[in-house]
Amino acid sequence: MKRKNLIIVALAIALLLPAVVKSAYYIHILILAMMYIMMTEGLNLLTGYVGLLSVGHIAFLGIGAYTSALISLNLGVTPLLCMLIAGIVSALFSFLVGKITLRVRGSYFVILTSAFSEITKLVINNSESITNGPMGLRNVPSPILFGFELHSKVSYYYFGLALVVLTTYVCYRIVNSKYGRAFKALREQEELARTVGIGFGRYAMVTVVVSGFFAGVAGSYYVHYTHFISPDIFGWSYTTTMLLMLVIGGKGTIIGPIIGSLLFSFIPELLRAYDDFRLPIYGLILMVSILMMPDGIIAPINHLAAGIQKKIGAPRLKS
Amino acid sequence: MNEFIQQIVNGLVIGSTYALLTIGLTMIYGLMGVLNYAHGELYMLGGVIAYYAVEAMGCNFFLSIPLTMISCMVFGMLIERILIKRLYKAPIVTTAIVTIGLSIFLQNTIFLFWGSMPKTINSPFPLAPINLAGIKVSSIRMFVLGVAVVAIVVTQIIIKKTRLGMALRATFQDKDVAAMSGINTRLVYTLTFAYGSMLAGLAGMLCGSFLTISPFMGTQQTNKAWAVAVMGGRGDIMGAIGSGFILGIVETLGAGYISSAYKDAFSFIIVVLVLVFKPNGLFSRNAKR
Amino acid sequence: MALLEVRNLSKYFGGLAAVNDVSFDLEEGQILSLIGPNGAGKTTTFNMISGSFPATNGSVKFNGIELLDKKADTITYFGIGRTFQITAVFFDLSVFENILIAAHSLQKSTIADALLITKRYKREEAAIRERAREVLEFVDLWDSRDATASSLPYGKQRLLEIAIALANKPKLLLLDEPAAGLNPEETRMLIELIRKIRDSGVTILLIEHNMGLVMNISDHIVVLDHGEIIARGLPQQISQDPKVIEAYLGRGDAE
Repeated sequence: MKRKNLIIVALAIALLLPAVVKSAYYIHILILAMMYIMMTEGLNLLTGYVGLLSVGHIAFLGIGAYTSALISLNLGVTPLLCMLIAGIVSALFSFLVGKITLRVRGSYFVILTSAFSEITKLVINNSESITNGPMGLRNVPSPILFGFELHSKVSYYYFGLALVVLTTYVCYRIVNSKYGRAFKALREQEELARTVGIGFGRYAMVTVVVSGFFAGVAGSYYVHYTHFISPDIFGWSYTTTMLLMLVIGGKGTIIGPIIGSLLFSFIPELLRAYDDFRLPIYGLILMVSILMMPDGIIAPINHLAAGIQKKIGAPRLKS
Repeated sequence: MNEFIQQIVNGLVIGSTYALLTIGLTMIYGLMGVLNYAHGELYMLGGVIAYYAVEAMGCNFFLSIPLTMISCMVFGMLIERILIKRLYKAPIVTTAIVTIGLSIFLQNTIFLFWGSMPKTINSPFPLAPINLAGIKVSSIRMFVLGVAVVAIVVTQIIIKKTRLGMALRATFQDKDVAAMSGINTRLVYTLTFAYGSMLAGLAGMLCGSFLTISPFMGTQQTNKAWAVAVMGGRGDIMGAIGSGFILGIVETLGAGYISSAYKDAFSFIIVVLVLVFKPNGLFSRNAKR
Repeated sequence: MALLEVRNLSKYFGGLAAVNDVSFDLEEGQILSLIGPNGAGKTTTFNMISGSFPATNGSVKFNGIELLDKKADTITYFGIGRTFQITAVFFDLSVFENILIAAHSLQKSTIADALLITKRYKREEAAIRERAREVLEFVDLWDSRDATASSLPYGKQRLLEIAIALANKPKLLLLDEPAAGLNPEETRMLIELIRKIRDSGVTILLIEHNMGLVMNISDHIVVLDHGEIIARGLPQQISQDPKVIEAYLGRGDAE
């Protein structure tokens, strides 16, 4: 009951935000935050729940963005359909990566995703006749929803919010179904899990495909907003940012990636003056936080909330 | 025909640096189970340290080799003592994230004072290639190949003949038994990491004297080293050496005869093929476990 | 046709035979015990039958279906449950959740069902909850359902392990030393439980060191030594077989 209230409050704030925040720039940051939430929620299924780290997740975002841009520009497919196709294409690629690595060992998943993102960048850079190489693709159209072109920032924010709600719902359902139970079983006792019919490969694959799909959708969301995509998207700094959002927010929880994504969408803006030092500091935070605070800031927050509730005698939140 | 042989020789040169780079990576992975994503940064540091030594401080080129090696060894030791030792029982995700964090930290810190310009170390060797029975190779490349081969042979001797090597092999086989028989496995870990870092630094320095050095070159080298390690099989040093040379030759031939734009993609293709057909490494006996 | 037919099952490690040419039948509704001194190859035999590791040679037919080419995570779908020599439960989860996970193979719903919360999904969730209640009541752990598995006393953890193996309604139950570490009172209750499981129609293959338990409940006994069968028969026959006595006593002298 209590949690339901929290969700309603959070949604109300999210809906009213554009009325309060008048700065177009902050709405822009919020739009990007929506993209990051979609990415990190998917990544979280993989990393937080199954223990697979995709270091090249940005490649799936890039594939989604390019797919969406190319079919909307060249074939005139309507952007909403593009988004779906982008998700499916990215999911197919992540399926392939999973197929190759999952039967060997988890560590190879890290190696292959990392190599995969380098290669994707290389291929896109060099296929100039299709992708326009390093120059990138321009004039990608805005989506049209029920006859309205989502051209204004505020409308695009609401569009992103809707996608985020959908993404979060899907992740929530997966984690709270037999799949979530299977992930727990695999984390705890892989051999016993196997004897009751839970094989690692099959269940890991579900998260690989779902996270690939969300990354593709996020890429499409991004490209129809900026109207431009170039191979620069494959830079390490995006991957770093996503990992930070996941780790600091709290992997293995549904709310963690949302908190992490919002936090690290706005922190760089506060530290603008020190932008040169941003990435070295990110590297440091990444190392320190996963060692000192492996469950993210969500753990101390929960702890604090539980403490307060105990004091005022209210019923405790069920985790 | 001459051109083909020339390509092979160039492939051997590049391959020897891949072998150097990967020996450390595969030792660290095989021995400590650490998925090290910062290995390429030691390669980068090797190049950067040697560049500053030679170009900024006027250090003799040949003297800069041991200097670079010692510096990278000390760096490796520090990294292991401060960071990596916390990861020996950690899950893959934690290990990978920590080493990625380290890699980002090192890359971007170096970037702060280096800038983005790629630079090269000037070697005292003449630019004109030497002509060996119609095959033209620059003398610096021959020098690199020579140094790399010596380093590889010395590494083999250390592992096979010395007490340290014995301790290393014993720990690799069974660390509990090794610890019970009086081997200081902590020290073995530290020294292995330091030694691997030293070889990576040497590889970076050598490459920096005929290719370019930049703060971000480590990422690609890490990826390639992992490709070579996967080809060679987990923790297999001989496999890593053989695979390093193979990748070097495949890349040069591929760049010469197929497409130079996709030179860096060959390692990826090989990894995929190896994982599909020989997941335990190119040189493993049986295809499946 | 017997429910489980093991034929010429062998496992070599290098040149060494851990299990050599083992054949036996297990009739439906019976309890067959596999006994023998330590290192006789009992657990190896067990692991090959349950697909945990591959056999070098031989055949294991369950209901006429060859099991040796099946992976460990598919065995349960044929109706086989197993326990482990060293207690294996999901320690950090509640007793109830342990069984929900164990009943996993009863759920056929897909990810789409889970997302859309379809009727089928709800029906299956309700069904496995009901199944979990049934199983926990059967082994008398229903009152501990909300306890974390790690907080249970050892004896109850062993019961939970059996409950996990029973959750998917197996036809064949493989028990690997279920009495290990139990006190006499707990062992007595275990004997009753195993009988009760057999009487509910589940066939049982048992590895056990506790001879009292074995002689008490087995319909049939197979004795292994050095990876080979040295005797087989009814409990009375086995307890008087000179080869069996020698295998046990001879080993006992050496120790």
